[in-house]
Amino acid sequence: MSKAIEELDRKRSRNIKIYILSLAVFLVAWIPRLILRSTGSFAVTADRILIAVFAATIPFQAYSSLNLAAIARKIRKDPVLKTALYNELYQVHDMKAWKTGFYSMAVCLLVFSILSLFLRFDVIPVAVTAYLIGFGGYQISFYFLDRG
Amino acid sequence: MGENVLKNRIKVHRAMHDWTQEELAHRVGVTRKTINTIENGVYVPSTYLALKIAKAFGATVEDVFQLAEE
Repeated sequence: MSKAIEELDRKRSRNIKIYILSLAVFLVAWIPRLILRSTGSFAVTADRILIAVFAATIPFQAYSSLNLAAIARKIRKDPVLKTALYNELYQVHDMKAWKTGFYSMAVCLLVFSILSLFLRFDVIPVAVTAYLIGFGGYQISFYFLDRG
Repeated sequence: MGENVLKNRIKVHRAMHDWTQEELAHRVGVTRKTINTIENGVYVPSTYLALKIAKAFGATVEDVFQLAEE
């Protein structure tokens, strides 16, 4: 059983890492596109390149998210796995990571609020960005806390 | 007056029982990572977990964990 616990723990860390890396690449393309589009002077080629970059990361994000959901389901079903993998250290890291996620989202919204004084943004892409940065902040924080 | 820090003798007790961190983690019902962070003083466990660790070694909690002045 202890082998299964350690294996699931490693698998969880590996998938979080894939998710963080793919989300980081996604945001590197997504945020400049969002800002540049709002300026109104944005070359079509540059737009297509940025779309291609962030679209290429979507399968990796989906793959890692589905894997993480499957791991979480497996852990929840087994009381021994649940006790071991959702232990108190996990809960402490989880709580700290949520805090980081919340602050990341708040800072993102603050930056967009300031930018909106000069540029015009659509609400939905900004909301999506804030959500992704919040969730990304959570995952990055959890990954580094858990890695020790 | 110096600050109190929690020291532990988990490594010593593990050596006495010839247990790896994974073996202890299995007996206590946590991950190896959790045992590692406690053993290295990175994480201070709850009373409940400290008691479980001591019980696994067949020792008292004071044998495993001590308050020391830094």
